This record gives sequence, C-alpha cells and structure tokens, in this order.
Amino acid sequence: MNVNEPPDTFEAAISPLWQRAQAGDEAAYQMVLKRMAQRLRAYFKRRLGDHPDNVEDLVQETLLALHMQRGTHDPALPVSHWMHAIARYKLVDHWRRHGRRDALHDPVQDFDDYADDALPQDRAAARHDLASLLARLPAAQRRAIELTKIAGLSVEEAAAHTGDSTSAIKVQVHRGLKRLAAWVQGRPGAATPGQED
Amino acid sequence: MQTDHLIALLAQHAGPASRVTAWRALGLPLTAATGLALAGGLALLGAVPASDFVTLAPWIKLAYTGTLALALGAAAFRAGLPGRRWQAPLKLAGGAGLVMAVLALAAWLAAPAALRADIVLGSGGSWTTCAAKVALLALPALGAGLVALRRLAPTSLTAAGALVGGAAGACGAFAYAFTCPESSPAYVAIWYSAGIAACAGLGALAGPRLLRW
Repeated sequence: MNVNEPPDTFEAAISPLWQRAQAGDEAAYQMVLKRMAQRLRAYFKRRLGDHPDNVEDLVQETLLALHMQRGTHDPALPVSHWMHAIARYKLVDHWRRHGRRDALHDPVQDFDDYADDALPQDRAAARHDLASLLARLPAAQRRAIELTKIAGLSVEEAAAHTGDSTSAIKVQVHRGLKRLAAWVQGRPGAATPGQED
Repeated sequence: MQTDHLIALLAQHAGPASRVTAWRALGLPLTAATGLALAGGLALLGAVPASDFVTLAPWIKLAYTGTLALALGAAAFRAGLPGRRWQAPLKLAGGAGLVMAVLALAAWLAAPAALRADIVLGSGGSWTTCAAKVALLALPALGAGLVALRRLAPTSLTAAGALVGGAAGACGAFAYAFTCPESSPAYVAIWYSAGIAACAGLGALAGPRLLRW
C-alpha cells in the first residue's frame, strides 16, 4: 500500500487551483494553501519531529511567505518546486537561528518520499490566538489588516477610510502580517507583542 | 493561531497576485542608481571630453560594463525567485569577459614594449584609484540592488548577494566610464573588472546578513 502521493500527483492536484488562486479566486487560494500546509507539515515534521510546536510555527511562517511572495512564482515553472524552495529556505533559516548547521544541503526531492501522510490538522496545538495577537499590533498595522482582511474592504476603500495612500495601506498590511508571523514563530529579535506603539 | 485561521486570513480578499517583473523589481532601481552615480561622478570627477566618443575606447567600456550589468542583473533577479535557476545569464557575462580579455591581450601585444606598462597601468598612477572609484560609484546601485532583492525571495543569500553586487559594480563602472580618460582595453579589462569583482565580494558578504526574509 502506498499512502504517499508521487510528486507529479501533488503538482497535478495543486497546479490548477494555484492558477485560479493567482488569478484572484479566493476559494481556490484557500484550498491550495490547505493542500500546501499538509505537505509542509509532513516535511517539517520529519525534520523537527521532536518539536511539534516548531513544526506548526514553521508551517505558518512558510504559508505566510508563500502568500507574501506569491508574485515571485513564474507560471512557466511547477508551483510545487517553487513551494519546496521556499520551505527549504525557511527550514535552513530555522536551523541557522537555532544553531543547527547540519543537513543544510537537504535536497528538494526529499519532499517526494514524504507526501500527504500528514498529521491531523488540529493535532499541533495552537499557541496563539489571532485576536489577541492582532490587538497587540501597532495601531496602523492592525487597522490596515482589519479593514482589508477582516472587514473585506479593497485596498482603495481602506485607504479612503483611513485617509492614507493605497501604498501605505499595502505596506501596513505587509508589515503587520510579517510581524504576526515573527511572533507566532517566537523569532529572537522580533519585537515582542506590546513592546511597540 | 490555528493554521486554518491563518489560511483563511491570507486567502480573504487576497485578490489576484501581482507578478514581479525583472524590470520593475530590479532593473528600474539599478538604472536609477546608475543615473545618480553618473551625476555624482560627473560632478566630482569631471566628464571626459566629448571628442573621446569619436574613438572606440569609451564605447568598449560602455559595451563591456553594460553587458555585465544586464547579465549579472538578470541572474540576480532570477536568484530572487524561489526555485528558479539563475546560472544561464552568467554565460553572457562570461562571454563579455572573454571578449574583453582578448581585446586586452591584443592591445598589449600590439603595443611597443616601452608602452606596455602604460596601457596596463594608465597614466599618472590612475590604476591605483580606478577600482576604488568604480566601487564608490557602485554604492548607490549596491544599496538599491540589495533593497530590491530583499523584496524578492532569494533562497541562496550569498549567491544572490554576489550577483547583485556584481551587477551594481558593473553599473558603477558604466557610470565611471564617462569620467575615466584611460583608453586602453587592457586597463579596462583589469581595473574595471577588479572594481566590479570587489563589489561582487562585498555583496556576497552582505547577502547573508541583509537579504534574509
């Protein structure tokens, strides 16, 4: 019995969703991120198996990176390959921060023998509550995220609402998401919640 | 935060992806920085006489440094895209280096023995400052290039830093060509390249520190 999906199957499964997501289909985007999260969880678990919290933090950090860097995917190349490159970078970065220098040359192909036999989604405990983290963001970042991500305004509408420029809103959303990710991950050097603003 | 919540948050009102392009992400910042370096170089060092442009010498410099800037810039941009191979444009850079080396060798062989030191070292000891001036004029491009690359997603930070450093060095050398009175290809092949290589080394050192994301 083979519970592992061959890599081509994974690519075939996410590629059409990803194309729709890149074109602006939010439902497809959510679905493809979930598929990716499963895959990432299996990958990180294999390497950080003794630290389940780290696994989930790294999954979230990588998802955030995928989101913020989605413009860097070249449609001519397999999206799974792009995702793997980002995941591997995040893993190496994690090791670098935690003083582990071994296994830096971890081949991308390692994904392939460890596909979708992931942990159940809810097993890794959530360490932070979104609302309380949002509350601790600097006001401008929190407002930008709330308006665009939660209230569902477009960037232009949010800009009209706050009186800021559209690019200012984009920057605040970007910074806010980045800071949330840093907190979730407990990155040393990231400003701790409540320290600023 | 539950991962599912994060996913929902990310997908909500995400809209279409805005794809990065080489020109907007890296080409424009490097070009603007080169313009700044050119203005600074002309102000500080003075322009070569316009009559120089009747000869081949400045055009060789501009072609050499411009090709290097394009090739290394293209490679640096690719190094900023996860999973993208960046090696291909280096062939163009290698080709430019080869052509320049052949021109340098030809100029050296064609020169009378008494003048050979001059065509390599330039006049008035200018070789001692050439590479440093190239690197100085490359600073705006180095800063702009590192900032630009940081906004992308380089996964090999040393390589990405070296490539963007080399591209910035070539931009600095391009600007320097407008103020540099030396005309020998041998001089350009050695001292311009040394300045560009120094910038690539600087970028390689800066990469792992400044390009993390």
